[in-house]
Amino acid sequence: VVRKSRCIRTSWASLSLTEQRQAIVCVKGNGSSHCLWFESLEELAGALARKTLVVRKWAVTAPRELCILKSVSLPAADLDEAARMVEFELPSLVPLSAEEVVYGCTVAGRQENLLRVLVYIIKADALERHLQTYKSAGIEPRRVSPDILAMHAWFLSVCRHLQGPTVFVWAGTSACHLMMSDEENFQGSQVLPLGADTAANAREIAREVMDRGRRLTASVPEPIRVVLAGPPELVSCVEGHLHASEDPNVRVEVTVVPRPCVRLPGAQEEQPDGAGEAVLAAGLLELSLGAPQPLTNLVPRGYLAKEQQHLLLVNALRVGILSVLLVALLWGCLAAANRRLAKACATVQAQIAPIVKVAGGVDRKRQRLRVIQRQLANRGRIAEAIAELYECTPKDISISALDVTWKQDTMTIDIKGHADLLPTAFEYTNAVREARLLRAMQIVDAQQIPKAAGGSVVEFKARCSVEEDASGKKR
Amino acid sequence: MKTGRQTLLAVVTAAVILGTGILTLVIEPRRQEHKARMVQLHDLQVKLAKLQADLLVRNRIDEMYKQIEPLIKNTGNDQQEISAFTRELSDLYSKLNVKMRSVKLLPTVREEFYRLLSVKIEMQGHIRDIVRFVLLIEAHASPLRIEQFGVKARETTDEVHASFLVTKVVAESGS
Repeated sequence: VVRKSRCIRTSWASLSLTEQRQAIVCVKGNGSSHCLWFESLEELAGALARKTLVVRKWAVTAPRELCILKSVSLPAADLDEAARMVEFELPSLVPLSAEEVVYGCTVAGRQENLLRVLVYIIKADALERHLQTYKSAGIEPRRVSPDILAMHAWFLSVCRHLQGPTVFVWAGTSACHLMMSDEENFQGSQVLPLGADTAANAREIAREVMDRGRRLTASVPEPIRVVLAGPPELVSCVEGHLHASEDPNVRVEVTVVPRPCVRLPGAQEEQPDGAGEAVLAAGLLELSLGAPQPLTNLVPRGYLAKEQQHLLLVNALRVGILSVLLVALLWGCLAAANRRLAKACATVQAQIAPIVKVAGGVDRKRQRLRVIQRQLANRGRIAEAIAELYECTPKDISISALDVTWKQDTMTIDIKGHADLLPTAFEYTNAVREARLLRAMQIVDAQQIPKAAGGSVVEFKARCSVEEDASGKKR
Repeated sequence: MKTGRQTLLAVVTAAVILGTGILTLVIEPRRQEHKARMVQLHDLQVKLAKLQADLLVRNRIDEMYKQIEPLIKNTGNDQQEISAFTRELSDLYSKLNVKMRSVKLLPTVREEFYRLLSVKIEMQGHIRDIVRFVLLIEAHASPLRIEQFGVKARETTDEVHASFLVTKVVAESGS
């Protein structure tokens, strides 16, 4: 709860109406609940309109008169599975179709592999009429829970970690509510009408509690815990009667809890009325703020559908905004990177500009130098190679063709020649071995061809190379 | 009535189309620009490094270039250069006792800062004159080079048929 001067802002608030249509609103702040008292629902609507009270989500109770309570045992592992089974069990529980009712369920206990479930069933149109009262004040609840569950939740919130069977007693002005609980699971409830005589009322309540206790101890051999809340004089009378009871079969442990106080918004003095409704509102708030129990929420489907649609729209909007932001971020990153690159390019260009003036022609000169060096390299080498070839060629061999080509820096000489004998052609390679420039000669082809005049001649092809290094020496 | 799956498919399809459209129209041009700028920056850095390296060797290159500059000087357009080149060759073989069979001009190879002129010559004559022609080319003051040289024997002794591919380098006009 956020309080700004006289303004209260909260995400969750519960609302309960008294018989005189006074509204009790419960909000939570600083770890404790605060119940606010409004003279009427219209006054609450006015406070909402004036924004002195701003609530995002409302929780209201469904009165027990509207609620049909059924106990069923189902072979379910958990409450969710049981709830799915209850949907099929509904026709056997009430003579109404599933569309005509709203239902919720809670766990009552487990017996071996059977889960005992309490099913709360309300006719949809009756619930809609009940909620119409709140709608007229501009309140569309997000949570509707049976008032007995709300009261049970309040008792659990004020007496934590209860073990074993417990009877919760809320003594009001005109009626007393008895709620049976086991291991914090709601078992059932009973309403006792109260008269004007406090002593008689206390006797009646104590008798009923002992009666309940006898039933519970028949199955569970543990002491019964009784939690009392209500007007102090009545509660002390009931406590006295319970302590005075001499039943050897029933042992009771009595705990008295203070009832919640109700104040006017912005005031400190306590209101005398509306304590019972404050209990409902506080319990309902505990249900709303505690662990999510969707199966105890009896809000009609239409209300939730609207909420889900709203949630879907909000989520779609969030995704859209995030996507746009992502695209914008990506675009911005690229734009920033491009700007940085443009700056870097400009910097490099600025560095290049003065150097170009000084060293701009060096590359042109270097390229020309290289090509001239290539042109002038190995000058005279062809003549030298031919001269050496002439010297090395044996007398028995005649050369008919010669091809000189350059491949990179290596000069290749292809020779076509004739010899009288095949061994003579191959001896040519030995003769060249001693040469200064010519590299090892290879006979690549040789064949003996008959002459027209008789005899034969050997025609051969040979290849040798002259490779020049930088110093011009033979490798 | 639309089922949940149809709605999901429609939403996914719309999201994909929208996403693709946004990427194509908004992101892709920026990405392309980024890529182009990266290439430009790289090229500029390479150019800068090269220029800085050139700066270090500038004096040595200048000295060497001064020596070869007369060899590579540009005397005009392609036609004028080819004319001068063929004249140089004819001056060489006219002194020899050879018979020219053909002189073929090959396409000029254009580089950034120079041109390579090529001429293919076929002649026949005594082997001694052919070798002398080779020596004359290789000793010529101009940057001439014999790229290919071929000799084929003829029926008469020491008479040969020779072919030459001779090249010459000249500076690119205007550079």
